[in-house]
Amino acid sequence: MTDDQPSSAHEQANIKPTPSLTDWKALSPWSILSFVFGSLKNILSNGYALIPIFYAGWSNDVSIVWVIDGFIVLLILLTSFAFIQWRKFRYRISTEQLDVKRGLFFTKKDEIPLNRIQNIRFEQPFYFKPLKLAVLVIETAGSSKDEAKLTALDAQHAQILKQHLLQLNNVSETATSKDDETSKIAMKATTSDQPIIKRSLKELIIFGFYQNNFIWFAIIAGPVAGQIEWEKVAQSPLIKASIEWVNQATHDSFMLQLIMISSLFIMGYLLFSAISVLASVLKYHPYSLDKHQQTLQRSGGVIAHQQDALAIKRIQVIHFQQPLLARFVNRWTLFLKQVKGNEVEERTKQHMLIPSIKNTEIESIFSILPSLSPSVITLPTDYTGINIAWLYKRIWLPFIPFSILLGLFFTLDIDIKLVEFAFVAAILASLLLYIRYKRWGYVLEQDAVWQHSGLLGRDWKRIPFEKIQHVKVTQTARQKSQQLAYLELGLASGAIILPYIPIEVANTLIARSLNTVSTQYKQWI
Amino acid sequence: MTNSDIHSQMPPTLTGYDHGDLLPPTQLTPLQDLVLNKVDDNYPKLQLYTSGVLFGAIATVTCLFIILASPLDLISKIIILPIIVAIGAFATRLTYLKALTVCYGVFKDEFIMRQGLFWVSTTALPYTRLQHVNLSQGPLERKYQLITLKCFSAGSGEAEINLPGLPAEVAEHLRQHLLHQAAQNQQIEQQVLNTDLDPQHD
Repeated sequence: MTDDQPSSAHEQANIKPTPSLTDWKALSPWSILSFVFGSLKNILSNGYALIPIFYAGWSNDVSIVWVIDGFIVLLILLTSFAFIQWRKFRYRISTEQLDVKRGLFFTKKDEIPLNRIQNIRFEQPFYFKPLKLAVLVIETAGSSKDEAKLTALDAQHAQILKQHLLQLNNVSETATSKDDETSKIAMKATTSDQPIIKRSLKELIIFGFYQNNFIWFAIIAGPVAGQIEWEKVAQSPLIKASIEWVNQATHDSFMLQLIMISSLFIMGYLLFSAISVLASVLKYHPYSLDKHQQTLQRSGGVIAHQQDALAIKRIQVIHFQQPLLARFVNRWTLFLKQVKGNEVEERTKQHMLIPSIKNTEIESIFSILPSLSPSVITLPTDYTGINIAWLYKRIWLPFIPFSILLGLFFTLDIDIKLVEFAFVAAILASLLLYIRYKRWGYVLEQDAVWQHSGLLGRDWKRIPFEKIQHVKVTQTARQKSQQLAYLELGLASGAIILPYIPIEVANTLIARSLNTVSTQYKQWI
Repeated sequence: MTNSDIHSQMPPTLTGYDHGDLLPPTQLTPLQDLVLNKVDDNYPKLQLYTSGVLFGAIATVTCLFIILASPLDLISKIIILPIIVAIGAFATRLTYLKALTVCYGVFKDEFIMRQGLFWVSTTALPYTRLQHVNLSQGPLERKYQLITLKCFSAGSGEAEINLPGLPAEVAEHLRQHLLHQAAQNQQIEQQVLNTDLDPQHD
């Protein structure tokens, strides 16, 4: 009963497209499965917060039967919920808009004009793969979360729908008779894909290696570590034995112990990197980015196949990021920034990204996308730094706590160690400030401006003048006399700031952006 | 100084006039030096009253606390109280001075606003990038017939331009003008929409 519904819907779409495009349709019952799985995954992925509870329950001898019972009740609740949701869910696609109706007590109906659709995500979770089913997630401008989600569509049908939803312009131009509309779209889907870049397994492994953030580990490990009673752990025979073993193996030599601890740390880090590498490969492999008419399409994913589509004209800023580790392998992560709040993966706040790009590959990527820039896009080799006044204004700040402590040391006789610590911290902080100052810079091009920043890593952002929405120049009286200014370039993807630049440069930037933007209207988001 | 003032200063008797050299683009008035219009005179007054009441209340509460509940001796109390009152007065004065700096300008292709006492910032928002305009009026503003104008562009949640203290009729007029400009630009949209797309490689 379950498997034939999506395929029959698909046949309908092929044979009799007119009624199938205008009638209210229900989703396949398999969407119940998807809902239950999705909710379970959500619960589990937020589940590390529950670990302390489980730990407490476990140490208080709560019977395993209760846990299983609880799980079954949860499952039943979720399933009945999903059943109701499936029964009440209806959707309808016409040539102009997508209508979605849902809800038991409060019926909610969304009408989404097709030309307002920002991104379409094609997902294929692992449990849908053998069934040849897929999920379409539709995101529009200004939606705070996923606007509409069509689960358990026949995979092939979903692809056709995706084309239809994304390319309204071409469809309405070409398809004069509705009869061959869908077949035409299907034909286009196979003909006009233009590969931009592919990432091999090796490159994704490199990406996973340099992109990992220890901080996430700390965030997850923090609450867990807080729950463990360390005294008890230290008294357990296993730990005692290992401490003894360490002492024996190193003959109580401090150097050897230090080496051992640091190698343990490095091993822990490598383990963490391995997790990050695994996550990156599972999410992106086999990564490929294609240009399909006026949209970019990214696909990949080992367990859950995922496909993101993004209209090229929605790209605002191109952001090249190089974290500290990536500097050693000389790779960049490339983010294509869209209108704020409309990122491709809304919930994770991730922009469409291209992992581990070499400097030499950049030009070829953008040569396929001439609408982003009439000239060639390559990373600038050098940049003009900002004025040293930026540093002068900040460098003394870290020394305030130190001077206060020094004063206290002479008057109130506090520990000299504290003063020393404050001094070292101040030196370190001012060193970091100096590095940050050295990284600040800009490059002026004919149709765009580049911003360079970073601390340990490096960031390049390319801001095309035609995407700028507002300019804001700020000056203090002192900056005015020094002929300096603080410039903010407002874009739909967020504001970009250039601090302490000469006023002539600021004025040139303002003039170029206003000249580009204010006289002619051009769709920019 | 308004336009009519400039014109009236011209000596009418001269027959010839030396226009001087054509201004090169570098000598055009930059954004941060443009002469702009002040907002309504009542706005700084309103700010003065509200901030006076607010900071006055805070200073009074702090003073009462120090007099009644703190363990300090009389002399330090006598020293501290005037300082608190002075800080309150200073904050009120700063708020007033800041309100005085708010000014705006309606230009052919963009809307410009400037404000700030120590950090003087000038914002320019072209009409082509204007998404929506919002007028609002608080209860105190209603008493003085003032209106706050907000201009939004895409993406960010907050207003790019937040211009308080406009007289009611000016604000409504301004809103009409801004929307008209934005709508005019939208009309051209259809003609240029397809010109900026990538060529097809089928």
